[in-house]
Amino acid sequence: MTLSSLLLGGSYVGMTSFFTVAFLMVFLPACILLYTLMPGRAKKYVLLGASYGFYWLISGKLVVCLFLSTLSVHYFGLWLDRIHRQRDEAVRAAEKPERKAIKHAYLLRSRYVLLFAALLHIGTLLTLKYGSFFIRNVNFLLEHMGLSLHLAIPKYLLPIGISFFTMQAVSYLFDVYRETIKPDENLFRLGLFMSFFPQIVEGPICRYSQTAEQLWNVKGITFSNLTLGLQRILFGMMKKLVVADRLNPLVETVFTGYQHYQGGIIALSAVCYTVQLYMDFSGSMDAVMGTAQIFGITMPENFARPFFSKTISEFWKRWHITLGAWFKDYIFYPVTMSKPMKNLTSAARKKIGNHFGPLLAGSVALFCVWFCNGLWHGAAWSYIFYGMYHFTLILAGNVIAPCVQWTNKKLHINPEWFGYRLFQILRSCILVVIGELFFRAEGLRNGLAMFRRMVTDFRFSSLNQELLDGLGVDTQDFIIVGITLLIVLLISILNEKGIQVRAALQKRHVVVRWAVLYGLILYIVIFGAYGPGYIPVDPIYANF
Amino acid sequence: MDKLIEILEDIQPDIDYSTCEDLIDGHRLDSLSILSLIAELEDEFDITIPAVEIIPANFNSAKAMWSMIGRLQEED
Amino acid sequence: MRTVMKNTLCSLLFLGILAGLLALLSVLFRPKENTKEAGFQDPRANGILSEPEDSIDVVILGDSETYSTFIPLQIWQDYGFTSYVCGTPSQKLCYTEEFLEKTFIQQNPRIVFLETDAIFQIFTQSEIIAGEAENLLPVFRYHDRWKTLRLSDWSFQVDYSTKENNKGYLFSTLVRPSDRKDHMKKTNAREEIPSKSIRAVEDISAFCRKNNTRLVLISTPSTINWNYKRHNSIAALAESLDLEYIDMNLMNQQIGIDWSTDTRDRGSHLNVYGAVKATAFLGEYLADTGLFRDKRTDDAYAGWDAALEEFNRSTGGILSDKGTAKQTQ
Repeated sequence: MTLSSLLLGGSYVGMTSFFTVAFLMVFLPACILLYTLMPGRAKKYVLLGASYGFYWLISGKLVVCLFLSTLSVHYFGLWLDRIHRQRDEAVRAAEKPERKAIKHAYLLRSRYVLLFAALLHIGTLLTLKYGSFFIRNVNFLLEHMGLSLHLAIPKYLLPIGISFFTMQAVSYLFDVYRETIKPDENLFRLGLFMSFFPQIVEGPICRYSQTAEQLWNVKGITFSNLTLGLQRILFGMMKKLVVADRLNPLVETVFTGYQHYQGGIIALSAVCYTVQLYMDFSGSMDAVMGTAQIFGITMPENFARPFFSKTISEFWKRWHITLGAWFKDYIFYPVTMSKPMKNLTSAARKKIGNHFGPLLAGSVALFCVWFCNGLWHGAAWSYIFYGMYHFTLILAGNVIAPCVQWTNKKLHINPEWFGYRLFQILRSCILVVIGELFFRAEGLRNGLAMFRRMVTDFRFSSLNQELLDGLGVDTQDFIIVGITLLIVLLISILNEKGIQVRAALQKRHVVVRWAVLYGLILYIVIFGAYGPGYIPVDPIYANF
Repeated sequence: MDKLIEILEDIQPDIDYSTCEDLIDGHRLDSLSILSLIAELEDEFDITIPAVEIIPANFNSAKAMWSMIGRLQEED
Repeated sequence: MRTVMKNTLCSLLFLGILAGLLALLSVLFRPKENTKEAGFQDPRANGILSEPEDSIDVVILGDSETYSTFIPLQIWQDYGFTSYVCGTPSQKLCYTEEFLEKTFIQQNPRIVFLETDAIFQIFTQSEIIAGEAENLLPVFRYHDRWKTLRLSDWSFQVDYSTKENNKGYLFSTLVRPSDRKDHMKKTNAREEIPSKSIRAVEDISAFCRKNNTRLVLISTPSTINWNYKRHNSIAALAESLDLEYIDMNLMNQQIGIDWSTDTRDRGSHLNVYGAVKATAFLGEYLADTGLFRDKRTDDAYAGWDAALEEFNRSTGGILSDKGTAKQTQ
């Protein structure tokens, strides 16, 4: 029954999330077993095979897309490298004064190759993910111009995780172009970097320099990595099953039928959605990191206690970190470092000073970043709005920064004072919650309507028992969610202070260690929102 | 080196640049300050800083910046 | 090597204690009575477990279609055969198999009906394994009872003797008509049956054969859940497995469902008025097989008469009206 029919199962496997029986009880143990049995050199091929097997199980034939993407990246990487080598030879042969011109000529050539390759990958992503959105909007425009033209809306199959592995592909090409990494001649190594199964669905978006070598040089599983990895998966499971999935009915009910609810309930649901999203996404990331750790792989972290942020720009350095870093390295800096932008910055600095000078070029680049960031999440105006919302907040934060400093000085407020920091954190949280309201709303129009209702019709009295009961989440649910969030908060505070909880636990007496683990497992078994009466919730970021 | 410290203090005062080692990792210099800094460095030292060089390791301390500047001057 | 041994032993010990803890929690979380109030899962369908040993002639398995379509007490009233509907909402075939196996521990029905809409319910490998884990350690199924847990739940004693009066049927007098007239428009096209379902039907068929029980595939009247594409697929499946197949949707001249009065949700499910007609058809079919004995005069089955009386009382005499109507004909 188990493995053979699992492999025959295609899309009926039920492995849409890491917290499924098929993944935790069948796929992962089978991987670990096979990996352990294989001799040292073959282990990496087990990972590669498992990764393609995993992708095939969750998306069937579309595994071809992943393979083609890898093949293309491999080819263009080598091409770029050939140009670099030809350049080096030419430079060596030439006299010193000519060298600059030669370098420039080759730079242009490699730039064209990069541009073509990146457009190929991003173009595929754009077509598959945004094709129908784009054509819908074109049709809307045509209609408004009074033209009777109507374009057919295409339907594409969207390979799972394409948003994530395209980002990895493009970052690889960029890095080869910039010569920060050597291109990979080994298709298998590159293939493993692109497809490693824990990260393929929801990231993190890794750089070649971060994981490729590690993945290729894997060694046997150590007992300590195995237990630490499993513990991290458990912790993520608690976040996802006990909190995120338990809040899902409320979020679902209110967001799909907000017309029936008062502002207080809408505000509550926005908070709940923010909590759900964080617990869902960071819980899944815990599962990813934990799974990788079992095989001895360290992945870049995607979260660093985002709700301790004092500003929105800090929030984005702590929330979905690898996405933010990608946009910073491959959009923000290339845009601001382009000739015209550099000139603009230099000129502006002399006119309007150090603070506002770079802001001009910076805001142009920020606009690009946030437009892409919004759009990356999905083909809808509400996502673009979400991006613009954060763009505005960050820009506004920068513009008024001197003002705030001045006021603080006048009012004798110490920015390091605990109360002030708490105020900043609360302010950031509220702004984030409002952003997530638009993010979750079914379309921009509904988002705006919900926001209006929340602001104009807010009454604390609406948060009464009767209303809450109709939302599929009762008082007991809220108590469990509250307790779990307190546990997460406690661990976050410890992490913030640099204490590694799992490592600290490892040093304790075996009785304490086991008691904590049994406690955690039974806590999830009893209070998890799974089984009869609950609809399993797919990981939210798997849809982006 | 003194010139560099001067530029840095001009952009963002209140930091002891001779000792600080985590200007980027400690979120002391934000992206916009970096922009301003790069523009100034390029003018002052007659170099071009390519996007590749904009990594935390090159900007975390005044010393790291100084060695990057030296390297870029040699290359040209 | 010694650390490997030590680590393996430690892991096994850890898992052993964990299994013990889960078993202990299962005792706590298991409902102490087989009623809805006690939190028992699907008490209506599971009621068959409280029926006296070897007392059920016919078992009907499937999703919501089954308990909306067939009234066992009507068959009892008209023919004296005993039947039970083990239907649950959106029943998936992995769960159907579980019901089949549970049923045959106590009962030995001569005919098992498998309702065909259930064959199109998609289920996953995860659900199969989860189902087995739930049977092994009920805490996985009943963990949500933490909200209603009382001190008295710390007990090994359970009382699963409460009988289901309507033998699995769900009574509804709601009328919401359907205006679809052409749901059985003839076509040669087929709707693909999930591969896991095909294997499950094969297993169910093999199980019945082993127990000398006739398995019949049956499609219940529904303008929403049934169509000719599905009919074609199931007909082909039945042929390949050498099973009898009845599609009630193609026999409406005989059954006489009036979609303006006989459905409770615009054609998806029948209400009691439709169910009476559909059950009359099924009763006739059962009588024609000649497999069953009329047990209405058997004192051992007095409970069924009492159940019928209670059903008539609680439904305002739906079946007794029909009974008189039949007599006056």
